[in-house]
Parts: sequence; C-alpha cells; structure tokens
Amino acid sequence: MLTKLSRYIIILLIIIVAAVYLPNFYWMIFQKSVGSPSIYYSPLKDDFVYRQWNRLTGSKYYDSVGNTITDREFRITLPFFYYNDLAKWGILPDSVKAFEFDKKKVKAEMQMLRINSKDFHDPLIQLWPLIESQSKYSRLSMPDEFFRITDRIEFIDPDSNKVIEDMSEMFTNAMKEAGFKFPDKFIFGNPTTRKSFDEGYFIVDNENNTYHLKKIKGKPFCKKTSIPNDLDIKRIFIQENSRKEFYGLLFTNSNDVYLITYENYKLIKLPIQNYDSDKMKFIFIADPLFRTINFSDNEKSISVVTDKNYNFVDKFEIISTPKENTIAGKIERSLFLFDINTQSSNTQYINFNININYLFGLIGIALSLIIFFIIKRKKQFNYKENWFDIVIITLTGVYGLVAVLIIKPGYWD
Amino acid sequence: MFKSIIYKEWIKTRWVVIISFLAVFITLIYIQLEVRHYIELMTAFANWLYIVQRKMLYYEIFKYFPLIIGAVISILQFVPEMSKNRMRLSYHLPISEKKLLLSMTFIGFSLLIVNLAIIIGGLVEISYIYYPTEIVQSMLFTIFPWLLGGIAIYFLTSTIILEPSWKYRIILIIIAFAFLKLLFMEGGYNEYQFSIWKYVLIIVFFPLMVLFPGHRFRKGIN
Repeated sequence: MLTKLSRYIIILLIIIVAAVYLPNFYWMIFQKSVGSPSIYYSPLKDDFVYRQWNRLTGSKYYDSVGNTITDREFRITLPFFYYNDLAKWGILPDSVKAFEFDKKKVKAEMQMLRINSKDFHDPLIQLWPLIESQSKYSRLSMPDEFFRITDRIEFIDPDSNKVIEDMSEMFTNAMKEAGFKFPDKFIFGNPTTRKSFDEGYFIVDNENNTYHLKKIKGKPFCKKTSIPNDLDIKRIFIQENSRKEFYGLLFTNSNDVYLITYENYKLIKLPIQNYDSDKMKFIFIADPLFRTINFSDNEKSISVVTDKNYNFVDKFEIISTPKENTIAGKIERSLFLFDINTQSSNTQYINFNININYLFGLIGIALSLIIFFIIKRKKQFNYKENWFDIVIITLTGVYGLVAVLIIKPGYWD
Repeated sequence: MFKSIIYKEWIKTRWVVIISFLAVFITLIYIQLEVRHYIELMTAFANWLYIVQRKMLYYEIFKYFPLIIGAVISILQFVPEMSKNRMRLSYHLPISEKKLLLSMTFIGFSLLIVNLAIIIGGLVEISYIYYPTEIVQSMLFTIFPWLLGGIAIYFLTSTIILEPSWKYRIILIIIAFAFLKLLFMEGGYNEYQFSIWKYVLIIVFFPLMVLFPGHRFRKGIN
C-alpha cells in the first residue's frame, strides 16, 4: 500500500512539474509578441491616435479609425509630447486652442503617473524614513531614523538599533492630538530624495480615517484629512509634483480612482469604468489642456480624456484578442486541463495558482484516456491493482498520461 | 535494530556533520563581518534603506546551503549502499525494507533539520544585533523556501540514488531540478508569503517517495 502511494507521489510530482513548465514551453513556441497600444489624445485633431508595437513590424501608428499614419504625423498631432521634435523641424505651433505654446510652460504643466498592477502586490517591510519637508538646503536629504507604527509611532535609530524615546513620544502625542487611533492600517508615502519637495505620509488609522503626517523642522505635522472613512482604500500613491494640483492618487478596492487635491484634501473622482487594479496598467497624464487616463490589460486598452476640471470629454477603446482566445490558445486549453502559475506580471509575489480550463480541458482528458487504452491494449495492464492510474488520467489529462506512462507500476506483492 | 541503524548512518555521515557545522559557523561570521563592513562604509541608515527599499538580502550567501547539505547527507548515506549492490545485504536484515528505508531517511532528515536549525538560529542571533524585528521577520520568511528546498532535495536525491534503473534516474533528476527551481525564484523578500503553504503541502509527502525505488531494487529491476 505504502509502496503504491510512493509511486503516486512521484507521479504527482511529475504532474506538478509538467503543469508548471509545459504550458510555458508551449507559449514560448507559439506566442506572438504584440505590445498593448499606447493611446494619446491629440488636442489638434480632438481625437485619439495610438502606437502599437509588434515584434515583426516594430512601432506602427494609427488614427482613431485605424488608418496608418506616419511617425512624423503622429508626433505633429501631439505637440505637448513631442515639442522638442517639432521645434527641431521648425513647425512648433504658436498656440494650441487657448494655450499659447511655450516649451517651458508645457514642461511645467505636464505630469505623468504610471501604476502597474504589480505595485499593488509587492511585499514591503514596514519601516519608513520620515524626510524633513522644510530642509535648510535646496535638496532633500534622508533622515537618520526609520519609523514604525504599533500602538504608538516609534522612531528607530539604525546605529544603535534602539527606539528614540523622546522623538517617538513627541510624534505619538502630536498624532493623538490630531485624533489618530493607533495602530495604523496602512502607511503610504514616497520615501525618496529624488523629488523636489516632500509631502510625507498618508496614514490610515484604526478607524479608517486618513491622516497626513510630515516632519517640519524636526517637529511633527499631523492633520486629519477630509478623506471619508468608508472609501475602502486599497492604496494611495503619492507623487510630489511642482504643479501642486494633487498629492497623489487614491485607489479603492472597488476600483474607483480619486485625486487627493491640495484644496484641503478634497477628492476628485476620475470618470472611469471597467478598470481593474489587479490586472491592468494605469497611466495618468496631465497636459496643459487635458487629462488622459489610460488603463489596459491584454484584452482591452481604454483611454478616457477629460478637461482640466475632470469633466468627461471623450473615450476610446481598443479590443485585442488575448492569447487564450487565439487558435494557439484554444489548442493549449484543450491540450492542458490546467496549468500552475507561479509568476505573473501582475504581482511580485510567487504564486502556486492552479487555473483549470474546464470545458476545453475535457477534450484533453478524452484524448489521454483513448491513448492510454490503445497503448495498454497491447501490453498486460493489471487494472485491478492499478485502477488509480485511470483516475489520475481522468483528473489531470495529458500530464497524468505522461506521468503514468513514464513511471510504470511495479510488480506488487 | 534502530539503534544499530543509527550507528551505521552516523559512521557514514559524521564527516558531513562536522564540515557543515564548520561551514555554517564560518559563513555566519562572514555575514556578520560583511554587515558591519557595510554599516561602516555607508552608515546603518543607508544599509537599512538598502534592505527595505532595494530589497538586498544580506543573508543571500546562505541561499544554496540547505540544498548542498541536503544533497550531501543523502549521497553519503545511500551511495555506499548502492555501490556493489550492498543494499541487497541490508534488505536481508530482519527488518522490512520499508522500515529500513524510512528509518535511514528519518535519521538523515533529522541530521539535516539540526543543520537547518543552526542556520536559522545563527542568522536570527546575528540579525537582531543590527536589525529591527521587521527585517529579522522578513529574513525568516525569505529563507524559508530555501530551507524547504534543502528538505526536498534530501528526499529527491535519496530517491534518485536508490532507484536501480538509469532511465528512471535521469527522469527523476530532471523532475527534481525543475521542482526545486520553483523554491528559488525570489527577487526580493517575503515573496512566498502567500503560497509557501502549498509548497509545504507537496513536500510533506516526499518522505514516502524512497519506497518505490526501494521496492523496484528488491524486485531486481534494472
């Protein structure tokens, strides 16, 4: 009995390894690499244009109806992005709509945020540096300590690996005075010195209220924001930008996206639908006239354009065939009943996710069983002793067939 | 009977015990020196920041240690048995082949666990000198799949050595390699946090794996 079980453990291991690697090998051979399109809104044409990358043809450019345009035409329609090229060609426009074209002004009014689904699923050690936000110097510099939040805020000195009591007490008191209820739920910040100024952290307390914490001249600044506590915040991405329009983007678990403005933390909801932060890339672009919000996965790319006040202007959608729905994908799904996914472009975590291809997979099972019976018809096969082999093939299809054929049953006692 | 098996396994593996203890010990000292050097060179703050934000694994030198120790223990235990078909004699002992194989692997496995415990203990001890709990915890989360890899390779190697036919051996080597690779894919810390229990669930069954090749050997399959 144990010996039989031993054989099935080896078979199970082969099935697992096959389910991880075989579908990958399959796609290495049959996948055609097509990049998802980059969509832009042209203020000259009041319409969308896009660029699509393809391994065979390279970058190709299209207008919104799908006509090919040249690289040069593409750049000309997007003066806010390619003003340097336009200037070189001597065709910089004097004005675009009401905006008088000035390179410096364009540069000052552009802002871009890219957020990948990976950014939501990335392990982070919860130790944070609190940067001095009113530094004596022109550049930001890192502080000397990290903070953590437990039932109070604690600053730790890396040199001694000990808590700095007076500083911790000062900040804990300031946070308590502001109404903060320890411990925290989330800490969101942008702790880097490669930016022109620092806005500290947005911290969600135990009652789901969001507080803004900064260090100003060594002293705590803690303020309760007006961000409602029933938003179900997933993540806040802070991006300090000299435009000072908003602190950053707030994503909720129901896939709504808000800007946290400098106007007393007032939220502006972006007019987008069908966004899924667990699967899609998200790009926010502010230019002098419009706001473009692009989000895409391998099935669709959606672009929504608003005016400067975030009123909806236009929307564009490109549907692409995901690899699962191509002929190669259909064959893959019928060949392999399931696959085991360990790494994904949507997460930094290593998984062990089993994806089952229900209906299509039945074809693979039927085929595997037929092959098994044909092979075993000629040779002696002890069905009474090894009936479980057939169960395995029925449950795992091609993988099980391969494993059972390789690791033959023994001459059981 | 079990006592004499322990004695025999000890004779075969005592050198690896001493050498691996030494190697682990020296490596632990090396890590400590290296961390101290980093801190001297770039300040403790920068060192922490490098660990937290850039995801440097200061203990990465240990990554393949459990694999090596696991494989070596298994080789020392089973290669001498398989050369000149000595295992045939063992199978004539007044103990069933299953019990014999399971006790042998149990002894080797215990030895491996002691080794892994020393690695964990040493790393925790050193880490607490320089780092706060958060970093020490993430170290434990991060090395766990490596330790699991050591356990898995021990049983896989034993199975491969005990297997009498070369055709099966080669297949098993490929499968073992492909499976072990899954435990060493991290690019930073804590990446197996949500899936590690699934890997544990698979490896829990590995100790029984040696029985099938043992059975094939006794039945005289080549």
